[in-house]
Amino acid sequence: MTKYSKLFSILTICLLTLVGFTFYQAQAESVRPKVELVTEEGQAEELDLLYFLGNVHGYDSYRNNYNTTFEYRNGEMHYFDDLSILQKVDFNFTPRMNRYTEDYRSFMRGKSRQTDHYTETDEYLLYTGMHSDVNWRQFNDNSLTISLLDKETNEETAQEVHLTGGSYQSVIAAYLDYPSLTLVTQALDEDSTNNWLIYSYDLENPQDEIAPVINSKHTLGSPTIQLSDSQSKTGRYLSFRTLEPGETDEYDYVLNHTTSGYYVYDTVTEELKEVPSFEEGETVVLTEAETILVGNDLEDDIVWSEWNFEDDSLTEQGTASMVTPTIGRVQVHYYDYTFNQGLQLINGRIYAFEEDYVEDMSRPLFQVIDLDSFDTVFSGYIGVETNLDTSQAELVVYEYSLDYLLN
Amino acid sequence: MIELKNVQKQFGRKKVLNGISFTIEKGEISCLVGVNGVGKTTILNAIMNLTPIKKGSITIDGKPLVPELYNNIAFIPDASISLPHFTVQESMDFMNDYYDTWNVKRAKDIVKFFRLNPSDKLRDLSKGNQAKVNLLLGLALDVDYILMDEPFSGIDIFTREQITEVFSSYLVEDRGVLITTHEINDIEHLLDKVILLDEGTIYKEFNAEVMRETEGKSVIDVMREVYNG
Amino acid sequence: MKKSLKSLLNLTAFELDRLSKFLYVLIGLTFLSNLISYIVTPMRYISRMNEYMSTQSASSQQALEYYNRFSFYNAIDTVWIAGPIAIGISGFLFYAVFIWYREWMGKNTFAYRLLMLPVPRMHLYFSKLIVIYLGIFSLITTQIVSLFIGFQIVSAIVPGEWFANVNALQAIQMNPLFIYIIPVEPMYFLGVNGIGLVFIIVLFTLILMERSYSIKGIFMGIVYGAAALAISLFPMLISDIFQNQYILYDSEIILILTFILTLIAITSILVSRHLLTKKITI
Repeated sequence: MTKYSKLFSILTICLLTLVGFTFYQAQAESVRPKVELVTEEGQAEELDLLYFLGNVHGYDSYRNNYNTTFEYRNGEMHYFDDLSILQKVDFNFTPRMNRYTEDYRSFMRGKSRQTDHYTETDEYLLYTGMHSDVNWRQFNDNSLTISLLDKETNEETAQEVHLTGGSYQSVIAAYLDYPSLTLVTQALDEDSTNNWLIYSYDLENPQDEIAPVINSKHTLGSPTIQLSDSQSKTGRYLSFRTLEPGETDEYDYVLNHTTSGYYVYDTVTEELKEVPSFEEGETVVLTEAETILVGNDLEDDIVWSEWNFEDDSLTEQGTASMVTPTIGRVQVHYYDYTFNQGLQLINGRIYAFEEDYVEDMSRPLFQVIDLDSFDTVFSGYIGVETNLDTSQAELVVYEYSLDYLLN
Repeated sequence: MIELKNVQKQFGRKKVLNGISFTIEKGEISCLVGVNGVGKTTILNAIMNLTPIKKGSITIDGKPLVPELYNNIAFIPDASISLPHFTVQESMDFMNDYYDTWNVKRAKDIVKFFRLNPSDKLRDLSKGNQAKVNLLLGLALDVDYILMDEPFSGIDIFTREQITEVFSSYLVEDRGVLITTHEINDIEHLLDKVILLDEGTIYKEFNAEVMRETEGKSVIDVMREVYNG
Repeated sequence: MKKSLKSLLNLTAFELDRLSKFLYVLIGLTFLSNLISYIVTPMRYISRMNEYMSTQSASSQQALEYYNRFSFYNAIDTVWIAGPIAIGISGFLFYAVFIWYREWMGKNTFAYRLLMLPVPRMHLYFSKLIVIYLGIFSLITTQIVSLFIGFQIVSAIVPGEWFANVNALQAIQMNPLFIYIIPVEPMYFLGVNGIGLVFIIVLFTLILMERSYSIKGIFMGIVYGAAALAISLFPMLISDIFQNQYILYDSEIILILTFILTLIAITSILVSRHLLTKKITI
């Protein structure tokens, strides 16, 4: 034994073990499931604008475990594990935020990471967030930051506006039809109850302070209001719905809520009107650009009509068969502040989504309906494919997004 | 030549060395004498870069002390400086590993001279034998200069005699030796130079033999004059 | 071999020799304590299952429904595993201080010998640093080897139909403790070890300050350590300074922190070199 033998043997054992462990781990991780869009009807290209973050978790019979987070974009999977550590720490588990921080890194600096605070058009990326959204130590002083990025010139203009009419303001959505901006916020009123406020603002005519155009709670007479989720937030109309408590249990605990009415706000005339309801079946309301589509939800079918905001007339457009009786119509949760998360109207097509379950396993289901023909141009699901004898695999979609600017 | 020029050293507010200057030549045995706390050990530590000095310069053959020069200057402090669990042989092997100037043959000679057992562990040795090992580890180096701090402190008379013998042996021949000691009687006749320290300064620097011949005084007599009065 | 490298190797091998007893005790303790966990935890589970089946006259299936399957994770999520890790970490923290002070301890001042070696004094510094890390990595290696042996032991003890479908690697990955001490996530592992390395480098500087200036050195050390800590925490304060939580991307904070820690490490090494070559006192 030389005097170095102890040193070199300890060093060798350490190196071999650590390298061996790393290789063993890498080899075990190489079991990568593939997620693919399975077309049941129509063309897969119809869902080219689908963009989501998901996770596949499961075991195979060899007791190998896999747990893969991925980004599904342009029909391809991008694995989270393939990112460098620096990319990983900057990664947002919200698809749109992730894209914005990738594409507009400089603009996104110092701005919150909530999808609700952004509106994107072909020309602009708009940010509307409260001061307290970025300064967590600050008391919410109702100061709103409006930042507009001109995508072509890469120029950013920022304005500070004080919102009156309520305290603890938080931005729910900002609709942009440049230079006109319609802002929907939630705020507390004097008696500390939740209010829905709508503001109107001219981006070319900056003001220090703005007052709400409408206090929805007062106008609609309901404390529980939800705003329709919109991917593009560029249309003329915004739809709301009010909820009322449904059944209660023996201790008067409200078991569920039901929709008590649908309302549409016109950003041009600044008017809020109730949407006519149907005698039979539920109502669904979608808006895009100048269009208000009202659907009579008969579960297997939805009969779509166009509603004229000015004369209140309802003109039937056609009937679309839905691939499941619930697709696109997610359950009502009174604590959500938006609805229609599973139903979107984009570029003349209705995109319906549902978390389907087959043998207790989640299976994200999609349907695309063309509004010209009311035909289903795509229906299918996201399937998990592994090259191993899989006994269990679960796919979870964190949040899905439709890249409406692609078309 | 080891040269100290205006060396100053302070511990807190207390000035320990206040402008010390002297030289040690090869082939010369010099002795630093002075009462306890006068700064003898501090000077040796300073020469070996084991304590920083405040001012002044110390050079060995015209150069400041760099690690390689430890191959050319040995310091034998009065504490054991090998590991207690080492044997005498392991202590020698350790020296051999690091010092280019370690002379294996000479080490063997010294072991024989001091009648040390190479397989004895240092912690089992008597104080006298530990002092011998210390000497062994310093003297077996082929160095030009040797510094010794109190080589006779706390050891029996027979060991002292053996160590005294070293000073007249080939082991220190042609080397520059600087020694600090209280037990000056035994080696007084061997000294070329005596440096008498008082209150951080050099009180007197003289040749012991010349002093005896011209003034009829021993080193102890000179020390008595200085410290008593 | 180059002379300077040889002397560093010599010193490292020498320091490792001095560490080895302490290291073997820690390795033995880890293995022994882990072994207790690998045997006692599944045995306890089996006896609980058997007791349930006999007292409730239940079938094995019903007992499984009550107690669930036993996974290797259950065997490693115990104090018998976490304990030796905590002892190992605190042991090496203690050793990082001891590795310097022992040279001055007792009547045998080995510091004399070490400081008078004809090698650059920084070799002493690096040999001590390397040996501490070698010791830490030896314990990590021990833990990895122990876990894979442990899996075999546990799977041999627990009947197949009661043993959950979790392999050794998955169980390791599930335990949050192992994310930091075993290279499950290489970057976490590097991060933790990097921060640990900077910590020890700063600690060495503080020790050398004390050894150079004694009581004054203790105060200097406290000030230096506090300054290093404050500078390291600076990236976390940027969002407060700018009053904006998103002023920097997390990746930028990591890069700034890496830069700051590297700077602290380099400064500490340079200060240590100055102290060791110019200021250290026996």
